[in-house]
Amino acid sequence: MRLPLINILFRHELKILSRNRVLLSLSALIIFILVSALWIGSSMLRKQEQTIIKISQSEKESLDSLKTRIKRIEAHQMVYPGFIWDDPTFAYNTARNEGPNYAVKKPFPLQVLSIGQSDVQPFYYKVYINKKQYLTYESEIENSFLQFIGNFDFAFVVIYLFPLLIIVFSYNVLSAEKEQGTWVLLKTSNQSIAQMMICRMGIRYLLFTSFFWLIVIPVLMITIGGDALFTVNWTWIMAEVSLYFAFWFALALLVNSFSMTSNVNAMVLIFIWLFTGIIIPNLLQIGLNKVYPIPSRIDMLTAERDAINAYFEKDGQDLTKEVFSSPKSMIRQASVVTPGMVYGYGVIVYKSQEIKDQATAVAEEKLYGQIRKQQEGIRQLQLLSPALMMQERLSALAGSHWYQFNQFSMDTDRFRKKTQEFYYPKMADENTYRTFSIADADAIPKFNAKDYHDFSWLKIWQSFLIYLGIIILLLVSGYRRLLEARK
Amino acid sequence: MLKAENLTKKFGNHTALDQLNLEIKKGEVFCLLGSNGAGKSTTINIFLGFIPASSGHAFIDGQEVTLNNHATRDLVAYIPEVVNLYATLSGMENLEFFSGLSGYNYSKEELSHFMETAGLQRSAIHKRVSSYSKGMRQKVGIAIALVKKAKALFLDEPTSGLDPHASSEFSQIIMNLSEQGVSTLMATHDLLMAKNLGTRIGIMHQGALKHNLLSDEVSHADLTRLYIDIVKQHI
Repeated sequence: MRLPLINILFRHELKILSRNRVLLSLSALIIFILVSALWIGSSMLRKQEQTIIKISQSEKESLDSLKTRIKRIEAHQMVYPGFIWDDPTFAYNTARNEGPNYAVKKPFPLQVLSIGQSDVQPFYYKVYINKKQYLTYESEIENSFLQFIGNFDFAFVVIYLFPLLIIVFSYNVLSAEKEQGTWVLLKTSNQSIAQMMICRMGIRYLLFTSFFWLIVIPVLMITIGGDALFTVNWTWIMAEVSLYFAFWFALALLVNSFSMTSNVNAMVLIFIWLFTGIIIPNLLQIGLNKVYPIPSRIDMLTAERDAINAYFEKDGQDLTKEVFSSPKSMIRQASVVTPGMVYGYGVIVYKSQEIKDQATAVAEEKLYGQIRKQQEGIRQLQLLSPALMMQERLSALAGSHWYQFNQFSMDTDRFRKKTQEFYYPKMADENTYRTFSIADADAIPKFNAKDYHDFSWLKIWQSFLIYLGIIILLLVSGYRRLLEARK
Repeated sequence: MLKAENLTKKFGNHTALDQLNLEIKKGEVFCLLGSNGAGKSTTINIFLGFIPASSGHAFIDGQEVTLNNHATRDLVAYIPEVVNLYATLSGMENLEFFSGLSGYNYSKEELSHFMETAGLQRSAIHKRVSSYSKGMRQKVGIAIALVKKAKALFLDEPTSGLDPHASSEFSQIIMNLSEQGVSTLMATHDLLMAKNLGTRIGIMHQGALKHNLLSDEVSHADLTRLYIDIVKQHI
């Protein structure tokens, strides 16, 4: 097609679209929703950033307080006037009280685009030695509700609302010509109808996508700054979203090529949107839940508690007797808590931890193992639904995918072990259980916070090329059908 | 300029056009009369390349018309009963678009001139087509034919619904085009217009051309009688 003709069609489309009041009103509404979604995502990011700052301040204050108190006790010949369980020179007390540090998943700035799992999964844990993870993420209770209604974010607007807008933009490119009667004049022109239609659809796609990025990029520049827009993740987000839009325009071209009425075209496209965006993901979720049922979190906690109870009823009995009968702990004679008693608890916690961890590991494997299998299932079947694929990709590129939170959880677990290894030798040893010093306080392990935005595990090229292939197929099929559309 | 050789069109078992033979010379205005379903529009649709002939051949300026022969489309312009345009665009913008599609790049002034030649007032050409009367839309249709420099003009009931003044204006423009060498094939029910405008008149019935008359050799009364006789046969 000659360039001047593309120019003619471009100007024509611009005039036709800019004078369509329904389209303009709908576009304005969607833009408002889009900007709102970005604002919501940005608010959530700010909230997380503020929480992380508070965590950091809290850790510093806690460490300063700890060191001050240790210094005071050391200055008074190790005499602590307060409650013995608060005496920080006991390694067990410090491990239990102000000693634990936080494991934090830093929010990746592009998380504003896709909340993903970031409202369901904790982005920080306070890591204690005696429990797998204390979930201190307070909004977890309300998250079940959020999970039910879905997240309103950029990804939601792009994945679910924008296809509807694209349908409004494209459902009647051919049929409107027939319905308004301009078709006969187009047919008497010496241009190929197929080329003209594919060109018009291409122009609409370019206008739509360019306009979309012209809105999104400045808003992101304001809300999260420009740095995040120079990342590989952002490049991929642009490519994936543009490809997703291309998919819907190509699909609309194919539907148009069947030369049905505008109403039928719209109905077919909306049905495809509903089927691929809502029905398939739900069917997959139901199917995968049937195949890999997820035990409740309560079951996991119950299993852990049962294992611990069983331990103390059998093997743990001897340990308890040994510890609390020891002259060192002087438990039987003590009417008040003695230093030996603190030591005794430290030993019990240390020695029983292995069995607790084993019980937790089994229960966790049941829970997370099933989730992992479900995730793997989704990853394999996501090509059936462009919406599902986009959800996966956007959350992964935004650093809020389940996989990335799982990486954080595993790092947290490693950090807990490191913390245990730091405290156990001190608290469960007769010679060191009350020697926790300022130097020890400075040596308490700290978590190396990251934002987990790596997506190399995603095999993004694979699905990108598959969808590119699908789009080309749709375009070629549409074009071939349009060659017959002159009738 | 226009030639039909044994042109036949069947829709299933129904023969819409039966062995039509026709030749229209340069500058001739050929008016096709006939009742509804006589085959007038089918003939025009085949010449325009909208539908394929079942058998036989149609030629424009020596080139055979086929569905994918873009060359013959360069030569033709079509004005249907109702010229439908892009309602949100002005007459000028419509003309600019369709002339662009035909590969022409006229200046605004040239396009205005074509509009005025087609009979549209200068004050109207920048108004949106949604405010145009039927006659004004027909004039934009003529302007589109003018910018294409069409050698053959196909008209399907072009004056149906136009007031006498607009109809007269329209006829005058067709005559002007005829003088410039444009061949016209017009389907109409308007016997008076056919007599006044046509250089030749054909009367079709059930897909066949029953009469092919020189306009100058037939009176309006005879034409009316012949036409009624044909229609009566149909009833």
